[in-house]
Amino acid sequence: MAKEDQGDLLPPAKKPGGKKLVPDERRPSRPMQRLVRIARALGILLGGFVTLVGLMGVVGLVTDIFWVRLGVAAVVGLVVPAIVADRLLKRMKASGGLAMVVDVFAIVLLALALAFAGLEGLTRGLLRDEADRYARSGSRVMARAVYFLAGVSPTFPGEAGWKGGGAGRSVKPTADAGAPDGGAR
Amino acid sequence: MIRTYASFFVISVMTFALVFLLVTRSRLAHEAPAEEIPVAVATPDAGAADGGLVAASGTDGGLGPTGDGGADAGTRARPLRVAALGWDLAAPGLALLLHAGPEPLAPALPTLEVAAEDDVDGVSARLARGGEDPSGADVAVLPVASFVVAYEKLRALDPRAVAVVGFSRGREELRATPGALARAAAATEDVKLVAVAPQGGASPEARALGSDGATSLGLYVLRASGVAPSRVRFVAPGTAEARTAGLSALARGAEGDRKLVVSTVEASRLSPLVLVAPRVLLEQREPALRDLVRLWLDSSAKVAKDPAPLARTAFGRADAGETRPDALALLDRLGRLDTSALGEQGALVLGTQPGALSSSLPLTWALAREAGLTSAATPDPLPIDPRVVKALGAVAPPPPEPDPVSVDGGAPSFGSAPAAASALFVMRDPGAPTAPPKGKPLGTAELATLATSGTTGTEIALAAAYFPRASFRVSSPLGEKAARAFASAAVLAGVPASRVVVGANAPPGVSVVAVEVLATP
Repeated sequence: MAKEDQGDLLPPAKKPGGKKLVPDERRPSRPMQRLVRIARALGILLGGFVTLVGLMGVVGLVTDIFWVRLGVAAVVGLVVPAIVADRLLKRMKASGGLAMVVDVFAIVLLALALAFAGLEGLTRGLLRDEADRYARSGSRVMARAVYFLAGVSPTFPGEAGWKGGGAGRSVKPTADAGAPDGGAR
Repeated sequence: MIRTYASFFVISVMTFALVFLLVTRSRLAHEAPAEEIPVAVATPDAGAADGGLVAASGTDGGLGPTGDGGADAGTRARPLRVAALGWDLAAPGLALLLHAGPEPLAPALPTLEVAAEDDVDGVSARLARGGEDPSGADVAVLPVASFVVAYEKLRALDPRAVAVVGFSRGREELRATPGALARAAAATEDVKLVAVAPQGGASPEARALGSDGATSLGLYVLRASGVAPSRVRFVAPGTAEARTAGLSALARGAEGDRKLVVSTVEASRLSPLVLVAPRVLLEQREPALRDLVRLWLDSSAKVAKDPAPLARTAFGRADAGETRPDALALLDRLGRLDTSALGEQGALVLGTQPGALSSSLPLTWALAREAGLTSAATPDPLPIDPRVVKALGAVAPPPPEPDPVSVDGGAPSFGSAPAAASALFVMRDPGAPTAPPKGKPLGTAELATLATSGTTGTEIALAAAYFPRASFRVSSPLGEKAARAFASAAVLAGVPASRVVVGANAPPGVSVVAVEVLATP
């Protein structure tokens, strides 16, 4: 028993006549590992952003309140890949570890993002409305980013071609001025 | 290892696919909505359900259902939408919203929305869209000079000045290099004036340095000094030509190279701020406008008395990176506004005396037209609608009784120049009096005829209305008797005799009469 345990912890014994297996040779090369990490990070960041904005747009059909939209979208965007990762880990008897969880998060978020980007007819209006909320709240950078996702070429107040009335801002009262109703400032 | 490569492959392909989809998708043109600045409202439930889009809930005041808002939009009244030229002019409306309770603002004015625009085109565009559009406006608040410039485009709406809601005091300046004003008066060629003009083609940054009010101040002073507005050539601020120009009429703080000649600190009644509404709105929603004018004037007085709550609550700090308008800048601009009371509306809107809308609007129009700022002739009748202030109980004041003085110089009791008074500028031959034949001394009756041959008295009375604290030293190269005759004509036109000073020596460059506008220290 003790020998078996010890064997699990040690590198596999050299098979007679076979090539010597060392841990470094079983893993991808260092540059490849770096590339894999970058791909995972990019996938999570890009997929996560598009998914988050898309889900916020969906919640925006119900409410304009920024924190509610953000909260619901963040929870859904975390829970769905977490459930998938949990199922996979159970099926594979927990082999794969953290790397597999990260991969699952990246793939699920990218899949959701592809769905938002691919179903253009359904999601264009959704994302455009979401971008409008950012524009109304004064967050132009965020609004531009979401307009880009929506496939919309925006003209902002004060820019050439805007017919809505000069470099305008309008004031609307809220119950709490400290809580933006449209999004981040 | 295979799993690592497989997942890497899948993630890479999906990432590239996503980027490809996003980059290559067709793009539709879209107008982003204007930024909305949320203002805190002291109501526990106003707009909480949908992020707070309505100022005060209440019954439908006949304005129709709201076009924005949440699921209960149909039960709310459409707000009366007000567009103002700048946050400072919008401040009374914002203060109204700040203090609004859950009940309607007024019986005929349940809700209100206030928007601020940076330029007159923005205000015009909102008026053109109308109040049914959330990005439009029913009513505008802007200086008279901007109203004149915007009128041409909005003529189809038949916009009318309904009330005078305040005056600009110190936001506009006329500056000049030493002697530039006198040289301009003596010359016959065009005079360069650094100012913004609709056709000037200036950049938005350069346009922000000036205003229609500042341009109007410059044109008025130049015309009084003997430079016809048609001789004025506008130079856009910030250009190389602007650096060498002798005169500038820009907003306060826009530049410091030239010496200050006069500003609306002295001419504190030259630039009235008017509330403008299209004729249709006046006919259909007069009760709402009546409530709006009453509440707006009341709120103006409150903001003038204590602007800190508004600045603290609705405005932010530019140095902290907030996108809301800077509170300090707002306070600075609010300090350069004079309020107008409900009791003054009779004199300002209904009156016919110098300084009332009925005199300042045609003058501003004439200056703008002669300078090419508008091609529209002064409308007849003037675009002033008295029905709202009349409904609020305002009555036209009786014509002022002139001080007892006769135009032939009998029993005058003119004032004396204030100690250490300095002349802001010289009005050269105001009212274009007829020059008498040379070499022949004039008798008393002839001097009286000369003094009333033009509109000198009226011009001085107008200046006295625009410069409420100034005195006027009247002098003539024809002698002191002639000066007294012109001074008497000014008194008969309504200028208090104590504000008229008879001078002995006329400044150079004057043929009949000179009027020095003396600043009270």
